[in-house]
Amino acid sequence: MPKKDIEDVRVFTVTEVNLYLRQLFERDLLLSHIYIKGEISNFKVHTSGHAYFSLKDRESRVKCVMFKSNLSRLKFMPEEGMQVVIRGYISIYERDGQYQLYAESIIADGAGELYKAYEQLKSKLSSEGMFSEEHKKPLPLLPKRVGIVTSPTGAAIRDIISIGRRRNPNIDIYLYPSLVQGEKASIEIAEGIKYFNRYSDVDVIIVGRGGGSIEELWCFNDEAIARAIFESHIPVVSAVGHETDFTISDFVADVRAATPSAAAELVFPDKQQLISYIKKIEGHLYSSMVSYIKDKKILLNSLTSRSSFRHTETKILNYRQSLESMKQNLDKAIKNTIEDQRNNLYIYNEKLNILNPASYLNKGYAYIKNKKTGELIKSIKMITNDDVLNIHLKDGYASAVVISICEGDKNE
Amino acid sequence: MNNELSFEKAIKRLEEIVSILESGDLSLEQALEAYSEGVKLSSYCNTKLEEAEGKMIKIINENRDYKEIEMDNEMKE
Repeated sequence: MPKKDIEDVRVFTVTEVNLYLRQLFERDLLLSHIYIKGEISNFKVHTSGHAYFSLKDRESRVKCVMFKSNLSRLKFMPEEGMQVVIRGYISIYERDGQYQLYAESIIADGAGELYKAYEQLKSKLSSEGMFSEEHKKPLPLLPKRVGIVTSPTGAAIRDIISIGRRRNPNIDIYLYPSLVQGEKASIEIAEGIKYFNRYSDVDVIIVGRGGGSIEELWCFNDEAIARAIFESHIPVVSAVGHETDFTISDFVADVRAATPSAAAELVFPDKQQLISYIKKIEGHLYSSMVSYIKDKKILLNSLTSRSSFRHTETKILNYRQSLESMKQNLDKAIKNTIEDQRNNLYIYNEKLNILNPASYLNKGYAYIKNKKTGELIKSIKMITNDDVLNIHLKDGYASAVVISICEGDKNE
Repeated sequence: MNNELSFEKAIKRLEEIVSILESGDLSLEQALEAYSEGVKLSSYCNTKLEEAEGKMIKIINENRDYKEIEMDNEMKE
C-alpha cells in the first residue's frame, strides 16, 4: 500500500476498534436486552467469584460470563447440561476482542434433555440395586492379568500402560480396543467387557477414556455398558474423563477411578512396595520369634529365682545338711554301741568266769542230783529217806542212800 | 482361575501368623511350626512377585472371530 494512501485514511488502533464494536453492541436494542435459551456447558466458577461457561444448542455455542453479584442471586447452581433461559446482554470483551453473553439471571428451563435421560437411567438402575455396595467386588491385591477396554489410540491406554508397566512389569496387559465416543462406542465397550468374561481369564477389567466434553463421555451413560459391568464376574474399574466427571458406568463399576491414570495405580500394585511390605512382615515374623524365645527364657529365669522356689531349694539344702549330720551321729552311735557291747562282753565274760560253778567245785563244793529224776537238789525238802542221790564233785560223782533227814540245822 | 494359593491369601495368612506369634500364646512346638510356615509363605509371595515378564496383548475382533496378538512396539513405548 502506497504511503500516501495511508496518510489519507484514518488508521485505528485495536483498542479503538474493540471499543467501537462494544458501543455498537450496547446501543443495539436487541443485544442489549436479550433472552437466550440453550444448554449450559463447561460451567466454572473462578476464584474471583465470577462464573464462566458456554450456552449451546446442537449447532453452535456462545461464551457466557456471570458476575459474582448476579450469580449470588440465583436460587440454584447452574450445572453441566442444564437446559436454561438466560436474561442478559451481549457485548464485547475489549481485551480479547471476544463477544460474550453477560448473564444477569438464569431461569432453569427444566433439566436439559440429555441430563433428564441420564437422571432417569440412573434412578432406574439404582432402584434395581445395581449401584449397591453389596454387589461391589474387591480388586485383587496382585492381579496376574489386567484387561482394558478403551481406545487403542487414546491418552487413556498410553497412561495405563506406562503407569502399569512402571509399577509392576510382571503383570499381563490385555487390550480390547473399542470406540470411546459416539453411538457405537457403548455397544463395543459392552462387548469388550463380555469378551473378557467369556474368553479370557483376566483378574480385573479397566473401562474408560480420557477427558472430553460431556457429549464425548456420554456413551458411558449407556444402559448396555451398565448391564455388562453389572453382570461381569470379573471386578470392573471405571475410569472416565476427569475427577469431576461422573457417568453411569462409574456408579455400577466395582471401583470408580477419577482418571485412567488413577485406575492404573489402583489396579497395578507397586512391586517395590509389595516387596518392601513382605520384607517388613518377614522382619516382624523373625522378631516375634526371637522375642517369643526371649520371653520364655525370662519366664524360666523368673520362675527359678522366685522366692518360693529358692525357699524350697534352701529347704532341700538344710535337709541335706541335717541328714548328713544325722548320718554322722548315727554312725557314731553305732560305733559307740559296738564299743560298749564289746566292753560289756568282756565284763560279762569275767563275771561268767567268776560265776562258773566249776570254779566252786574246784574249791571243794559239790552239787547233788536225785539219781532217779535227775533233779538238782536245792532244799532238804526235796529229799526223803532211802532216796538215791548222786553227789557230783570236781572229778566225778558218788551215789549215796539217804539214811536220815534233819531239817533246819545248818551246822552239822 | 486356578486353585493355587492366591497372593492375597498368602499375605493374609502371613500377617495372621505374625500376630499369633506376637501374642506369645503358643507352645514352643507350635511357635516353631508357625514360624516355619511363615518363612515358607514369605518366600512364596516373593516368588509370585517375580513371575515372568508380563505379556502385552491386543485383541482383534473380526466379526466376533477373536484373535490375540502381541501389541505394537509403539504402544509398549
